[in-house]
Amino acid sequence: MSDWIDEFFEQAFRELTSPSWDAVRKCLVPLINVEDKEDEIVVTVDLPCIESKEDIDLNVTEDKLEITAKMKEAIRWERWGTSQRHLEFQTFRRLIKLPEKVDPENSKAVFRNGILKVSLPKVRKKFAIKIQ
Amino acid sequence: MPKEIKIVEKEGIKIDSPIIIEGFPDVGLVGTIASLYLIDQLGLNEIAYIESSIFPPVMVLHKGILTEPVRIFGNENILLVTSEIAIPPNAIYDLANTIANWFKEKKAKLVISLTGIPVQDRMEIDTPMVFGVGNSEDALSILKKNKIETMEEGFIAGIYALLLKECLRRDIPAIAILAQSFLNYPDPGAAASTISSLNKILKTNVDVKSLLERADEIRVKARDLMKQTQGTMGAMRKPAETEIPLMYH
Repeated sequence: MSDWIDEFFEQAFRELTSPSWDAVRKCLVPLINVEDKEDEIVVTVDLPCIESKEDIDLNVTEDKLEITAKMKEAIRWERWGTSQRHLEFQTFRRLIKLPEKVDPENSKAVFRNGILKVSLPKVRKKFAIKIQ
Repeated sequence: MPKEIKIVEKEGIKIDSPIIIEGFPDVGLVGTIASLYLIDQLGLNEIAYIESSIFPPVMVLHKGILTEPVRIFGNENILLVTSEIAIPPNAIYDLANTIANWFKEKKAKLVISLTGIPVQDRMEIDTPMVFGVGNSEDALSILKKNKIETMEEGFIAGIYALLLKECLRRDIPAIAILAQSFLNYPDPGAAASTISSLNKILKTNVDVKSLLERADEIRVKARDLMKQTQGTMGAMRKPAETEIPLMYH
């Protein structure tokens, strides 16, 4: 199999098997959807318990998007699991590796009904081809 | 014939020509969220569980008690089938077959699936619209009588699609109530819309206010089941639900 196929399946496997919380950083890992469109990468992030866009930090480089969002109140599940019941979570955090290079300066984001949508235009060098 | 899936009933349960609601994990976990809310609001008790060697080897603990993840709740008139785990794609044909046989045995008068239909602009929609699908003229007339808009053309996929078919084969009227939903995110708003339509059909008055008030909490807690379900939806051809069928008449 080629490298990108390996990478695709490894990423899909990691996505399904990785826990939805991080005990070390005491944060929850949000659900995301990455859509590879013709001219842009569109990332949506499910952010329940986040009140406003001011509670969200977004950092983007050419190939990575980092999201940190602070919840209005800390969450703790007192009957959950064994060690987990002592954990308290107050942030969502996720670092997303983008499938293509993007232009960070022209990226845009909206937050509505608890969903964050980030549009990241792809870096594309275009050359006109003269038809002979 | 299905052979690996078994419905185990609790002793002393009396069921008489029930209406059966189904809410397995699917698009936006709409059916599962709606089912769990209905169990609480209608005061339904566990009456049976479904076990299978082709389900994942998972049990659930609730208040320290070992529990099967795929269960049936109900009273004499209403039964509700739901699951706390994603149903593996290789199990859905046999599961649909087995539960449709059981529905026939219990003389079900109507089967209602609650689920979501994915829409791309869901984040712009405040109150999701609801559409109905019926497996026969009788089933469609129930939707029309209750002023639920029907889906005229399109693909439907997943266990509810098979249940509609298996119920038709057994002469059981069955409908699916589909609310506009996120595909990959738990959607309590869509679940509330399905319950509002269900209220019309069952002549119940389940108030969805507390479901909507607890929407954020539900979305946080449902993330793991949503992740499991995402893994199964591709194999169930869920993306086909947004495709256009070849219309020839």
